Amino acid sequence: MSRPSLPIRLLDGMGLMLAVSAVLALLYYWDPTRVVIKRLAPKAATEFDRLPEGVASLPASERLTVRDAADVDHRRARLVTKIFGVPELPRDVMPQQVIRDVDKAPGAYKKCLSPTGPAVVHLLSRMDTIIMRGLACEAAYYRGWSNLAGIDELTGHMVKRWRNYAIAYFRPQRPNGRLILYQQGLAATYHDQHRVIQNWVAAGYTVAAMNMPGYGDNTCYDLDRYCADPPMADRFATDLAVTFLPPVVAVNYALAQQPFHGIAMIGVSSGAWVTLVSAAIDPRIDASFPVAGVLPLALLRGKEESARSIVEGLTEITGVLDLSVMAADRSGRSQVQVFNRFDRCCFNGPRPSLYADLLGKTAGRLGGRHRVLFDESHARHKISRWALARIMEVVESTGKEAP
Amino acid sequence: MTKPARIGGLLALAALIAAGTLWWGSGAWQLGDLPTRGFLRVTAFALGALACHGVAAWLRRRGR
Repeated sequence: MSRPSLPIRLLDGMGLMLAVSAVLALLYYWDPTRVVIKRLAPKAATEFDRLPEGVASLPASERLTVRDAADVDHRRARLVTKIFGVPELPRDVMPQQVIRDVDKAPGAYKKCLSPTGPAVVHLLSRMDTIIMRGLACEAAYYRGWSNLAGIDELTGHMVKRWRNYAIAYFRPQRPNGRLILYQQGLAATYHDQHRVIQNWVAAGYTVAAMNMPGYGDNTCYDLDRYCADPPMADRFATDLAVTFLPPVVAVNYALAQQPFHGIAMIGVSSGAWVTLVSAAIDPRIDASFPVAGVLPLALLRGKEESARSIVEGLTEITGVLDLSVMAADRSGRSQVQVFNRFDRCCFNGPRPSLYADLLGKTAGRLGGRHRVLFDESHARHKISRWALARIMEVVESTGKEAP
Repeated sequence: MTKPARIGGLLALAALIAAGTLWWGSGAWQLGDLPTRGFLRVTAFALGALACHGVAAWLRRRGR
């Protein structure tokens, strides 16, 4: 047999290299093999299995100080005053504008910055347009969802020509009487979670999805749609109110539509911090799930430090551990914090193991339930299928009698 | 068919089928067990490999 010519050998060699690259890419991107790669990496034990150097116990500045129900009520009133300027949660504040069925009739809106629907947006868009995805532009892609009656857009103008909030309220055709508040974190919008929200709606959950301030519709980019109304009262024109009012408004609006026998809040990354505070100040939230996000401030490192700004002014009143317990302060209330042990971004490793038992015991004394879970199924900064399954077990078992 | 072509073709096909199954099975989206970005990378490499082996086989047949 004659030896193949040089071009043929080159092509076969290149083909073999590309085939090996395909296999390596598969191993790199698939969650289970990515975890193995992370575990085998140099310094993996230091990063993911051991506590950071010098952190053998919880720093004194982060001790739990909430002891009983009176303590919780007192701290809650102080937090609410700090955020909203009055000691009572603003349970009467409704959206300034409600646009019903934006999936069918989106109304007038400014040019969409993100060019396409949910499936390919990450592949075709630049980051600065991904984080600006607006409901009016995306809602039509959700029109065919199973059990979706419609999507309402709830908006309010908070700071003149600068800050607003916009909540996507997904109404199921056959509601199961449970509400899920979903809070997205930074560098993304809730549209990125379209599959998760789609499954919730199909199962009958009413979903209120929210972005962080400055993301998605939470800007006055579309001045006419979101910021034409006179701004809300001055006491809502603070960074804290801009961040923490939307979940309160979402619950106010939802309860005005129908009774719910269970309200859950799920937040990822920076959204986990919003979830932590919202569940602490709003006892209407029965179950809360900060995912890939919250740690006592003294344990933050590197890019995690940016989370301080979300709770600035609040942690002087109540530390992160106290906030955690306040979300599970009575019978029927629970919080599950989920950490991605191999998270390639942040909030990884075993640090929460320092205080997980303490949170569980303290919440238990008050009548609630608190758990910390470590997700070892992937190495990304996300809510995994494993975590969602754990979360939904709790959501389905939490709440009051059917309304 | 040469040995590298057989191995490369088999690897590329196996990777392509595995990636498609895993991507579709976890919801066919960016936040699935295999993200869309990963699926597309695997697909690009595998199709590239199959194209190389295909052109090589065609040249081989033409040279006979």
